[in-house]
Amino acid sequence: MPNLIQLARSNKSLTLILLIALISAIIGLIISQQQRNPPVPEYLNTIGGNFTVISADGNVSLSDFANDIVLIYFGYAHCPDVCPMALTQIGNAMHSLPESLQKHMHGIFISLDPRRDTPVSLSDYAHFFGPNIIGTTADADTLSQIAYSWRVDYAVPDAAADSHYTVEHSNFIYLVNKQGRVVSLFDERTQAKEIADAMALWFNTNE
Amino acid sequence: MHKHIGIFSSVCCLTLTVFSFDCAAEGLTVKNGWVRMPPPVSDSAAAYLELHNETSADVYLTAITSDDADMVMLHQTQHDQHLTSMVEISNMLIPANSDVNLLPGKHHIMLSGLHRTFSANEQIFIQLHFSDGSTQQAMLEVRDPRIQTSVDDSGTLKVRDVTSTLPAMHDHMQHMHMGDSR
Repeated sequence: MPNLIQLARSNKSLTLILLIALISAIIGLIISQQQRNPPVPEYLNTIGGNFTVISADGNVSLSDFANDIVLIYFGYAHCPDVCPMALTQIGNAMHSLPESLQKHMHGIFISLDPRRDTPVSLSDYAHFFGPNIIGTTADADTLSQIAYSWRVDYAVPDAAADSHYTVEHSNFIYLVNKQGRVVSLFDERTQAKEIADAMALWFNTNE
Repeated sequence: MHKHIGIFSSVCCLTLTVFSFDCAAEGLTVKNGWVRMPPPVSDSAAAYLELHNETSADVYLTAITSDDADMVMLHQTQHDQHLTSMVEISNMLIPANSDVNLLPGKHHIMLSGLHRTFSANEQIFIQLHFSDGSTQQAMLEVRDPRIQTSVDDSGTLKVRDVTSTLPAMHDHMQHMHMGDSR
């Protein structure tokens, strides 16, 4: 008889242990699912796509950076206020990450002002903000197509290259995941740490 | 009499300006001026400062000049949703007994057609011209906004090398200026 009581107690304990294990497994699954798939706003599903632009070292395509994280910014090198602010945040975000991650992080600065910005000058300009930031541009038609896919609004005045004109442009910083998909948007007012945290999060997810 | 004082003041102002001294209105002060260090290949930079008007009269900032740039303009960065643009402003009101701050992403001074590269922590000077006829020389500290240090994977402090690309940039700038027809 005592054996039966002991058996019943043992079964209760076993059930309790199994129940705790099951709940832990469910919680773990939920957490790991969240880590695998950080939320992506639905409106980003129609933004982006592969492109090819020109750098000082030749053509650069977004697809060249598959399995790495990319930050993309559209602007122009003669912009004194907003573009340097954005590129500073991009460079500082990359620099603040551990070195093991930095080699998987890239920035692409696309100038909307090819009349004044050459691939060579853009290379020096972008590297000032960070060694992993590439300065690029393209011809007007290619820029127009990329801008349409990436929802970039811009207006370059029909003015002489030496006339100190300014360019109106969108100020998004696009975060692109390892599959080349836009997963988050920032701007020049976003703190570098917030951008760095998002880059690390997306690098450590499966998607 | 008033006319003579006016002429005397103008002569005084002109003389002091020629000799690079301030001809500042009492109670109008400029503080915390700085310019964001531009990449050496860039020919423009943005500057920011604080204007304090401790007088009982409104005054306008009407012009800015500098020996370090072809053009100096007062700009306002405008945000329409996420579309940004810079609009030139002909003058800026500094109300009586008030402060006006020029800040990144908002009002700023645009130095365009820079004559030289700026180094971090150096001081450059601009002249502010006001509607009351006064002129003030403002000192701007060149600030490098790039973070200089970080902690690596092992917790060791590492210093960012922000000078490694400078020689190539400097060469490029020299080429750019040599080919410049201005």
